[in-house]
Formats: sequence, C-alpha cells, structure tokens
Amino acid sequence: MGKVFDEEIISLKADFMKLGALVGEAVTNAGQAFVDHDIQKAEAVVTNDHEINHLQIHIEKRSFEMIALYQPVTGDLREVVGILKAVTDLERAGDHARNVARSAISIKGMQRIATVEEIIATMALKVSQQYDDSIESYGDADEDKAKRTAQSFDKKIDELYNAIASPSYQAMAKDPKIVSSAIIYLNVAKDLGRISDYSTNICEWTVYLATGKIIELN
Amino acid sequence: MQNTTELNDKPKRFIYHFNPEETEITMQTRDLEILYGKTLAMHNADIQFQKNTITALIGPSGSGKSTFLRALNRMNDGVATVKGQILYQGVNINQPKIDVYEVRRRIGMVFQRPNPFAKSIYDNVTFALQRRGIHDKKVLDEVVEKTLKQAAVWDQVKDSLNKSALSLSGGQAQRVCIARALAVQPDVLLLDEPASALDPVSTQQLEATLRELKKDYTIIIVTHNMQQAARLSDYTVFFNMGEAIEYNKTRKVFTRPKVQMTDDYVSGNFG
Repeated sequence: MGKVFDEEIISLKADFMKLGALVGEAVTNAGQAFVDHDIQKAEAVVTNDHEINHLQIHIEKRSFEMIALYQPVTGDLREVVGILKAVTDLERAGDHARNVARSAISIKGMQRIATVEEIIATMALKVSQQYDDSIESYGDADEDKAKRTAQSFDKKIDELYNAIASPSYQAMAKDPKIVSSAIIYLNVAKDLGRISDYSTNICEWTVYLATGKIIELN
Repeated sequence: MQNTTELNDKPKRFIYHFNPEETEITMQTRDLEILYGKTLAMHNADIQFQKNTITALIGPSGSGKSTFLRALNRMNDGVATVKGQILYQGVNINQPKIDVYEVRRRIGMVFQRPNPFAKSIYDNVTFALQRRGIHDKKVLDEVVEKTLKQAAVWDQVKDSLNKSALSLSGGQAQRVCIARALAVQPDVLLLDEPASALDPVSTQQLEATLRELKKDYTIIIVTHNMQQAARLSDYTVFFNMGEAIEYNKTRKVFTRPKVQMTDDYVSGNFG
C-alpha cells in the first residue's frame, strides 16, 4: 500500500496507543482510589471516561474511513481490523475502571473489611500489570509476549476473585450490616475480572495482528 | 438499515460550497452548460476547485466528466458550445477575447494514453518553450531537470535525455508528459484518466507524483477507478447524466454520501 496509507496507519496506531495509555491510567487510578479511599482520584477517573469514549469513537471513525478509502488487504487489513476490534475492548475495560471508581465513591462511610480490601489491592495491581503488558504486546505486535501475558495472569486473577468473593459472602451471612459494602467488594472484584478478560482479548488481537490467526487464549 | 422514508428524505443533489473568505479558490464554474449540437451534455455543474488540492471527477461512461474537464481549459472549443462562466483566478476564461493558448499554458492537460512526441525526452519537455523562442540551453536544462524531478521520473531518464521518448515504458512516458505539461509553469493540472493505461506499480508511482505535485498545483483528475479517487483525492465530484450530483470531501463521498445515487454508484449498486 502507498505512503499515505502507511502514514495514516502510523497515526491511527498512535491514537490507539494513546487510548491504551488513557485506559491504563484509569485502571491503575481506579484501583488505587478504591484501596486508598481517595474520592478525588476516583472522581477524576469518572470524569476522564468521557475522553476515553470520545477517542474510541474517533478511532472507529478513522478505521472505517481507511477501509473505505484504501481497501487494505493482508497485513494492512489486519492493522486496521485489529485496531477496530481491540478499540472496543479498550473502551469496555475503561468502563469497568470507571465502575471501580464509582464503587470507591459509593463505599464511603460504610463498614469495611480490611482483609478483603487487602486482596482487592493485590488484584487491582495484578490486573493493572496484565493490562499494561497486553497493550505493550499489541504495540510491539509481540505474539509471544501476548501469549505469555494471557496465560500467566489468568489463573491468578481467578484465584484472587475467589479470595474476595468467599469472605464477602461469609461476612454477609454473619452480619447484615456489612451487606452493602460486601456487594460493592463483589462488584469491584467482578469489574477487575472483566478488565482482565479484556486484556486477554487484546492479547488475542495481538496474535491476530502478528499472524492473521484468530485464537482463544485461555 | 434505513427505511424508505429516510432514503427518500435524502437530497437529490449536494454540491459543497467553500467559504471564499476562508478558502483560496483557483477555478470555479458558474451556470455552466455544454451542448453538442442541440444536445445538452452538461448542466447543473457549479463547482469550486480549491487551490493545492486534488479533486477527482467520477461517474459512469457518458456522465459528462471528461466533457466537464475539457471545458476547463477550453478544449471543447469547436467541438461543443460552452455557455456560462469558467472562472480562473476570478476571470471568466470562457469568452472569445481570452487567449486560449494562454489559458492552456496556465491550465495544463495530461491525457489518458501517454502521448509523447516522436522526439527526444529533452525535446518533449522543452517543446513548448522552444516554440516560444526560448533556446538558452542553460534555461532549458534547468526546466528539464526541475520538471522531470517534479514528475518523479528524473532518476530513470537523466542519463538518456536524448533518447526518443517513444522508447519509454507507459508509466515513464506518462510522467514525461506530466513534466512536459509542467514545463510551461501552469497553475492547474487537468488529467483525463492518466493511469488507465498503466500497470499497478506505475499507477502507484503516478499517484505518489500527483500527491507531491499538489503542493504546487491544483489538480483535477477524471478517473474510472473509484479506489483511485478514494485514496488519492481530497474532493470528489460525482457526475451522472450530464450533471454534478454530489460534490464533497472525498472522505465523506466514500463513507457517508449525502445523495442516494452517489451511495449506489460508489458501492457498485448502480444501474
């Protein structure tokens, strides 16, 4: 494909990586805000979600235009389609980060379970690492790294989810006053789990970008 | 899926108009009518061409796009009757008192098939200048080098400038023809399907050349190849049955055209 397409794809990918960084920031900050009970940080995550949505729409529009104008094939097509698919995963990961931030705001003043919150802190950190590694693998079209990332985090994230869910249910059974916050813990664990799933999707798009194969990791 | 009502609500024509205060317009047609004998071949084609852009003229055979293009440097003189105004830098060039040769010097044309003269590459490029009495070798050498470089063919022909231009490949010959058109320092370059006789590699090189040239020239190109219009041009005019149906940014024409007929044509559902 010609020079103009090459220039446009570089710029499209730069926008995609920018979105990747914005969502990554949201994931990290939302987790930290929840763990540190930092309302201000949580509110910033909620506000910044508009920017994420805006950039996602911009990237989708540009991808459609590039397909219509240049009708790319083979590797060029994978570049555009990969971004078009992965951009939805990024935006959804961003939505779940925003949910975590909202939970950080709504749990204010409620009774807390310190032991559960410690596990949430660990899970948030792991999810954030997994997300960052996934985006990095996409940026470098690094198939091996994508596979490693998806495989190495998957089991750990499941374990951490269960480590949050079980004591939350137990606490609810024992003490009705803790129900509201326990539900929030469950939601946060679920949101973090979903972010992890979207990170895995991004790894799958990395494999597609690099090889043209559509596979399921995990 | 759009319902019928929505489809019917689409306009029958859409012609983009620039704000002249914000945009430099090189050429513009106004109330243009072109007749072959008594047959009206073109009407409803008020188009403004922005400086330093590439505008593609697309449409089915017989839609009038080449007729329109040829009117822009008065190549229809003696062939068809052209009414209305063709404004070049604000001056109506569609009047008998305007020197047609001066018009064609400023508004150059490159044709569908490469048509080098049976002369050397050097003489092809300098032909018009020599006819105008310019024989200073230094001046001509400079023009040859500059225009062949602009047309992105210098590296391939610089060691064989005295060879016949007829020995060149199609792609090279077409770019020498572009250099020949540039030698008289035009403002506007009209191209009538310049890539239709070229292979994909030469086509890509020609397109890259045109993209470079638009920095200095206003380019108007007739093409049958819609992908070419899509990837090359900034603006697109869609013609059908002797009128301009839609004129807009190329990105819009090829992603969300305003007129249903344009939509049908660019998506291949026409007829």
